Amino acid sequence: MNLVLRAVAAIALLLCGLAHGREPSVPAAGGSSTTTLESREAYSQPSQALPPALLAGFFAGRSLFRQVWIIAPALDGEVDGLGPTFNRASCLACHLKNGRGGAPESHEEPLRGMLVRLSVPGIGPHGGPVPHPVYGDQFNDAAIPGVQREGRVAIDWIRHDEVLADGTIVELRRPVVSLAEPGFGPPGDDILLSPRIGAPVFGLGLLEAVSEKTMRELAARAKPDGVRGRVNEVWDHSLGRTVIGRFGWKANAGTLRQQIASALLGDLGITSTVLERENCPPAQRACADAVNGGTPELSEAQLQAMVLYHQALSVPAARTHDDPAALRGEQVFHRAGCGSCHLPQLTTGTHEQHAWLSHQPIAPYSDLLLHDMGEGLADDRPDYLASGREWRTPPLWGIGLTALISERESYLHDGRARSLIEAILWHGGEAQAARERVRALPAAEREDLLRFLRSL
Amino acid sequence: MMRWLGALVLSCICTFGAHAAQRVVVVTSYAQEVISRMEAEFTRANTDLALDVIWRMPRDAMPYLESEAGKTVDVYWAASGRNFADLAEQGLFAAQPDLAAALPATLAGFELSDQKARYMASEVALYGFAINPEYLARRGLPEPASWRDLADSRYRGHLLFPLPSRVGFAPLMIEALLQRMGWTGGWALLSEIASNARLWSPGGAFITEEVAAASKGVAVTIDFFAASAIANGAPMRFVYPDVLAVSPGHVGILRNAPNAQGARRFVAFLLSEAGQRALLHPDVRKLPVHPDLFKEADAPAFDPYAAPLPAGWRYDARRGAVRLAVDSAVFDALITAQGAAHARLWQALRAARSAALARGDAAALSLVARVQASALRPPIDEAQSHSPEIREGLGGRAVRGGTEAPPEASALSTQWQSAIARQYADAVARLEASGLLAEDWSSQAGVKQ
Ligand code: HEC
Ligand code: HEC
Repeated sequence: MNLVLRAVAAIALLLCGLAHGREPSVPAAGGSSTTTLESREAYSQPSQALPPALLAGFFAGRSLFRQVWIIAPALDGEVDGLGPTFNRASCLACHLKNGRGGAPESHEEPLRGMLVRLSVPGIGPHGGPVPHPVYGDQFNDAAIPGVQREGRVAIDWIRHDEVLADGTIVELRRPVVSLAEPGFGPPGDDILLSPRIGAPVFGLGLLEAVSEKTMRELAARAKPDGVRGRVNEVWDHSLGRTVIGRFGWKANAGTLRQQIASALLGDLGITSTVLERENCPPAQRACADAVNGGTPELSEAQLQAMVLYHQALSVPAARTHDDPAALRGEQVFHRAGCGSCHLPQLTTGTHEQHAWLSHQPIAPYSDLLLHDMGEGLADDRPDYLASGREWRTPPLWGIGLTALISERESYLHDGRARSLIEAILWHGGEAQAARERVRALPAAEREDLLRFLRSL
Repeated sequence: MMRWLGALVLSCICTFGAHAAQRVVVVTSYAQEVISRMEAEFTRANTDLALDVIWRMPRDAMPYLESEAGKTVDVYWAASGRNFADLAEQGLFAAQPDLAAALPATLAGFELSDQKARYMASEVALYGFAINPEYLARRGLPEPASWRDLADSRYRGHLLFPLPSRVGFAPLMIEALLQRMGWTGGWALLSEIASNARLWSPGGAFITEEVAAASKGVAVTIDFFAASAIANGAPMRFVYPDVLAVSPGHVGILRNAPNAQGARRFVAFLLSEAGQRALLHPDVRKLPVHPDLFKEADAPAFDPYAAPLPAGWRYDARRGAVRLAVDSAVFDALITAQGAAHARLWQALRAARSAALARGDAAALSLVARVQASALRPPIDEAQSHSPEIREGLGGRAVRGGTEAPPEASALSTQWQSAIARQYADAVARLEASGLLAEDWSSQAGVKQ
């Protein structure tokens, strides 16, 4: 057998191997793309539904996601072109083990799993934010040698105590973001900042397969407690039209292809077939003059592999069923009204490329809709239809493995919450009633609720 | 007890506050997990410093460090002994005798830090076998403990072996085995092991994932891949075999480092107790260089400093480094390029040897041994393997000694391949003529690879 054939045979074998010994998962969090693995690799498993012929593409995508990109020119021409300005040199840096990033603890600590989106007031050509004229739409705190970095982000924390009905005190903190050492002068008073941590990247193929019709029906449906929910509508460069928003903390990207191409350009400075021009605002001359790693730097085949990788990452199965406390907590979750937004059950529609993602009953604990979360969480930076107070309900699947996999807990869009209870206590606006019910819970029931979340 | 370096650098922690963090520019080829962990630990203790990491594969790092851009670099930190030796020879490193003083000179016969302290070992990786115990138990196979064990035909179809011309970490392992077992004996053993194995190259599943998923029972690999997978829950064990091969990772401060003070603090951190402990993280799992760490309660289970070694044996890193690409080309000529003919050769040799043994026929046994020796004769002898003409003839990567470039066909390598093909065909013909092989020998016991 020649080497290529052997490799294919091996991959097929591997697939059998991966499938071997799996028990049918009871609550199929991700439908046929569910893994029962509970280890630190639980966010990194290829879907068992992925056709064997696509496994090679999945691995190619994985290797690009793990790649630390190289400054051009380089002998490794397939993976060069980092920058000129960027945030981190690999996707993995902000999504370690495919999990979430986090916020720095102190003023001095650099951002490692986080970035700051920028804009000025107004509405851009496709309905999106207006980039800052000097610093663009994202603050790049790193640059290749010879190019000026945009500066440094410093985070300070303002802390206060919340007292729950049973007297328990929980310390909450919120970040104050400042742009230190600005490379191109003071950014001006009208700059709008939105600090965001890296979001987990598994299960996204399924979310991509949720139909627009479903999302619009969810938005229109009557909900208790004054909960509303609406869809974001965002520009998709690849499709050249406005689509419904699904990804990012404000549902500010509609397709994985768009989300990944934006991450490549905005976070790493890698151009692709979707976003072909380097990310150099007009004021940044050295940036525009820097050597690039090809036009575009990422080939179409590489982009497709990265998209496939994200589409095929399985969701960890919930571990609720064999834990009585978690089962009690599930009741509390629904009684408190969490399920109005963190919807336990959805069914995917027809995925245009991949039948194996279609028509799957899934348990994302999200409606993918935007909700007004109150003043406490507001970033005051509109993002397409999302106002400064609105955020997309993040899926809660797999959230119980955060401490194990990411080795620290960082919840909410800016990583301010260091525990699940902190995350809940920040809920305001449409989620205020739910939060108040949690605040009023007896300690035992509160523990059950948290136990339930940790079993997801 | 060996003194830790931590205290040494305390004296130079500068004042900080509103000032911009000073930057330390580090060129590396480590994986993101390793970089992230070390960066986090380092900057936690050194809040006035920030790391700028420039990533380059070893073969790509050399031209970068030698160019103008290299003058902006403070530290080179990578697992590439050849690059460090070359850069030291060019006088590009500033020696750090005080930082090197606390480190042992050798491990298992392998030189760790440069004798002149121009670069220091910061971690080590060793080669061995990642095994899936359940896979082996289900097939009644014992767990291999030595390289010789892997040559046992019982493992046929159950092994994965890294293809040296495509897998960056493999050539050093091959070279170490050749130095320890001799050129001819080493190749004979490698050939026999490879006859049991499927050759693995990157691009698909990780070599350890294949073992964890039980597509094979044993993979020859470097320890940290396996140790990290095991620490993260993979159902495997890692076996350190009888002959150890060590791949040290090094760090050195560039002579023109713009931030020499910051560079020293980074290097001192890597060699300090905190830096060495950070290596034990589940996502890193490299072995520390500090012998003291192996004596502590949470130490790695295997202490390479305690492993037995033939008296006086030393790995010759200098000679080894220039021969790595030659080794890969020989491996390809003897094994990779021969494909099924290589498998068929071993099938014939094994069948003939069994027949000779069954008949108790000493003359036949010695005939098989002679046939085997001539079949497995490498295309060049030991002296030639060191010759610059051979490296020139192979071209490309071989000239400089790099390891990761994909194999390029050269007139010489093509010539080797056809010579070896003839050797194998002759051997099989001689065995067929010896009367030791049954009529249908080649259709028997054909284990799919
Ligand atoms: C500097 C840190 C950083 C880097 C580097 C980074 N990301 Fe992200 N990632 C983020 C942040 C922050 C978000 C949330 C974005 C938002 O809300 O607008 C995100 C979101 C995502 C999402 C959407 C997740 C969801 O649930 O909606 C995907 C997919 C993603 N990133 C992929 C990538 C890929 C692919 C790369 C490499 C090309 C990458 N990221 C590099 C920080 C990063
Ligand atoms: C009105 C809709 C709504 C309701 C009701 C609601 N949430 Fe949320 N939840 C959100 C949104 C939106 C966010 C993201 C906010 C942000 O990032 O700033 C969020 C974030 C979270 C997070 C953090 C997720 C992450 O990935 O960081 C947790 C945990 C959570 N909610 C749990 C709950 C629980 C438990 C309840 C019931 C007590 C609840 N939520 C009720 C909308 C809601």
